[in-house]
Amino acid sequence: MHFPLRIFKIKERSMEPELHEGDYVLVRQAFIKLSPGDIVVLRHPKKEMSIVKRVASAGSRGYFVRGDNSEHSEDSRHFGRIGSEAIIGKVVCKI
Amino acid sequence: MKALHALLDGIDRFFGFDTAYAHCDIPCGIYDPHAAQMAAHTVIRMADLIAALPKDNTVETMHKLVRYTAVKEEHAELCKREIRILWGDYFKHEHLEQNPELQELIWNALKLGSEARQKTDVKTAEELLSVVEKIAEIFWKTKGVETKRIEAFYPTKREIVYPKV
Repeated sequence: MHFPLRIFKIKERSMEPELHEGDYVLVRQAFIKLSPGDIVVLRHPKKEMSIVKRVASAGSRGYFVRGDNSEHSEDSRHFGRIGSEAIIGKVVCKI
Repeated sequence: MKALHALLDGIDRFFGFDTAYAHCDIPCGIYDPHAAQMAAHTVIRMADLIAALPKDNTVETMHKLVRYTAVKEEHAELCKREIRILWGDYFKHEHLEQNPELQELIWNALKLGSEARQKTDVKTAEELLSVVEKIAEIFWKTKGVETKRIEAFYPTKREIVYPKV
């Protein structure tokens, strides 16, 4: 059972200029319908960490996520598409 | 929003929010303004060489002009790229607050980089280097490192900014 809302603190810079290190984001963990352009917090498929990325495309094979600061981002270009089970929630606002 | 952010900072200090990493694929923190300065020196060198070309229309001269121009184009663009990386990836809000001239300098460097591609004169290339040097000094200042300007060990014989280490 998750709280529907959760706050995360942003670290590192792959989502600049949208999200900067030290920003807080409010994440909705329930009733999520993701579309390309949405920012999501997800579990890294190969490391024990939560990461924040933007959905580039969504399809039957999962989500392709990318960092906005694409020259400095590890994302689906490296670890491939991610399934919906890896999604923690959708960023609804930045603080 | 600032007040809310400050409140969350306070809560974070005591309870600690979860972290969402905007994960990088390379170690962050590896930045250096030296590459931009080297590129600006190369632009000056090419402008110097173009200015020294004989005023004839021989194939040899035309060939050199094409080669010098190509390198000038490449390095002016490289200089812009390095400046964009510093601006986009390294400099933070607090750096801009402490050095309000930084935004104008970045803007000028990018404009002069384009101008250095369009023109062949040495003056534009020197202006580009001058702005890039000022950005380099601010870069090192943000790290608490003093700098020195010395004559570069390049044929350009112009200044270059080094950290005092």
